Amino acid sequence: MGWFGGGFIFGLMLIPILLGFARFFGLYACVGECKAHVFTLFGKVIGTLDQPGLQIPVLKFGPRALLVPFFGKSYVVDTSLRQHYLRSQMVNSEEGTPMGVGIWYEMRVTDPVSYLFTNANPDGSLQANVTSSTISTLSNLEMEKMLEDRHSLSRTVRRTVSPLSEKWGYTLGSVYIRKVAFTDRLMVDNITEKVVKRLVQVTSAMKQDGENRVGLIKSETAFRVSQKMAEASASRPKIVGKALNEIAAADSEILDTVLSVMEVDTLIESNAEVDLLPDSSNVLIQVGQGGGRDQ
Amino acid sequence: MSFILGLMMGIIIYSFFRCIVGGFYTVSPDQRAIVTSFGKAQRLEGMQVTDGDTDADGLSDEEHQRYEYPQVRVVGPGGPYFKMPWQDVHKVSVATQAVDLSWDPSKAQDTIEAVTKDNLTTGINGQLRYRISESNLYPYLFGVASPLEHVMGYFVSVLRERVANFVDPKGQTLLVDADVEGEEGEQTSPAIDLSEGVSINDLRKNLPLLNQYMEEQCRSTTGRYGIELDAALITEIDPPGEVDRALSAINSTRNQVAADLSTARADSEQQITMSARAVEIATNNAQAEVAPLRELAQTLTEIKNEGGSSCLHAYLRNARIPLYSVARRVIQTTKADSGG
Repeated sequence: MGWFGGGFIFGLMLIPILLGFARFFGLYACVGECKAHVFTLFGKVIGTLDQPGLQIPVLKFGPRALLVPFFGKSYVVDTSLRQHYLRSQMVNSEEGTPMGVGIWYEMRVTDPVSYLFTNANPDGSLQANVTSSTISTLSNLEMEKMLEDRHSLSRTVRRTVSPLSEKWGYTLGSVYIRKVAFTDRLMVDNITEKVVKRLVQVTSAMKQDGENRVGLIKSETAFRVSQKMAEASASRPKIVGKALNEIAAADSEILDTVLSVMEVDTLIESNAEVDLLPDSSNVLIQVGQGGGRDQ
Repeated sequence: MSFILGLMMGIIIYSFFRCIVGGFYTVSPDQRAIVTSFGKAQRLEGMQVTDGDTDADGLSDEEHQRYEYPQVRVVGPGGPYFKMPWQDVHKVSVATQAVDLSWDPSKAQDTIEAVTKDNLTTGINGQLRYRISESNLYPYLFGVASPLEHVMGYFVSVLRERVANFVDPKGQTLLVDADVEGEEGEQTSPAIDLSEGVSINDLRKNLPLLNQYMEEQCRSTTGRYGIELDAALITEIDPPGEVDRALSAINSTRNQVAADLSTARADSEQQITMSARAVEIATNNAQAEVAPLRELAQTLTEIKNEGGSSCLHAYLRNARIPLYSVARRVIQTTKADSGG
């Protein structure tokens, strides 16, 4: 039972142990997606495995690959797309305004050997290059251009930095000027104040414009009402005069008669005291007044 | 012999658990999976992600070259599926997820700052809804180290540039309309002219337009990072307090002006209607006054036509007769008077 148990436990561990030894001695390598394995031996790079899947280094590099575990080293490099954000890089605009600029960029390792051995700190060097290129591209630009034309400036930064970064195994991906901000608090306050004043001006103008429009409506109304009232006042003379003219045009005697009849009718309806006198008799009028009642 | 038997038994048991028991897996409804063999994903030969509808992915030709990823076989929901020991299953959730716009893995912040066209520093907040693209899982799983950070970096860059360039696109159209209406005699609000150059006002008024623009620009994230943008919802644009108060004053004034105009128009309509009625009343009164004149003239004309002027005089004398009934005194002239 003892031998059986020992054999059983050894059997359970045998396959992992064998696989571990095979890996350690470099008999095979599993290269993942977006990964690269760089093999060095006696201080020299003997090759790179950058195709994903099962790889047999001995088949690719020959028997010397078997010496790598003893006299060399295998490096695994991630070749997936990475990103970095450089915050608050100081630049001066053409007008001398201090601006803070944030640069966001993508990069991937395309040459793992150069990435590992050409530069001791490729990430730091790339950041320094992007920073330097950004400052040289953006400095002395008009503030407006810096704020509004970011994408074309980003492309300029990318074109400038790419050749430098490729020496260290990096390929620069997209580069964006992610942030352009004012660093001087006083300037921010001044701009805020300017906008507030502009808004106050808009408010006043809007109010004044409203008052003007109300005044315009009222004056137009007064004009139209006045016109109508004049039309109302003129309608009686217009209509009556027209009728009298028409009657007179047909027969003036008829008009005289009509008016006489209407006068008589109205006089009768008025219940006024009537003295009938002959024409042109001043004396008789005086008589009439003397004998009449008090008016 | 027992040792070899145990060894064989151990190998069989290990193989059983490693190959059979550990070989089954399932994919839940919100998940998709990619299987790698010795670290390599199973590719759909000869196909790239960009082989699809390239016009719709929003990438330029140069970007297509930079973001070129292979198409891989995707395992859909279901199971149980079987995998070999040298295979690994990479599962991802394709359910829609949300992230705050201010999310930044390297900085804690409640809002992101953006500078408007008139240089005002304002705070922006909102939400980004996204889902991992089923049709382009390779970049999300392998090609991009931290896809969500890339999406946010790209999104915020595009957003800030848009905010810095934003002007009200309706302004020009409305001004043209204003001219047309002006010709018809109707006064149009010149508020558009007045608020020109106040970007924060334009931004707040056109928030849906800004969201729409961001969604259009971020269509390319599917091809770039394997993340499909579902919606970009910018919900807050927070200018400094004093600007906010000034904006409130504009809105109050606009409402007040609208109310004053409405009252003035109503008052005007009422006065004009009343004056029109006054004209009608005066006309009717005059017509009433004229009607008996015309009728009497018509009648007298008929009398004259039948009996001549003498008949007309006779009628007039007859009309005067009732005067005697109401006369207080009559002074009758004699023939001598007529002679004198």
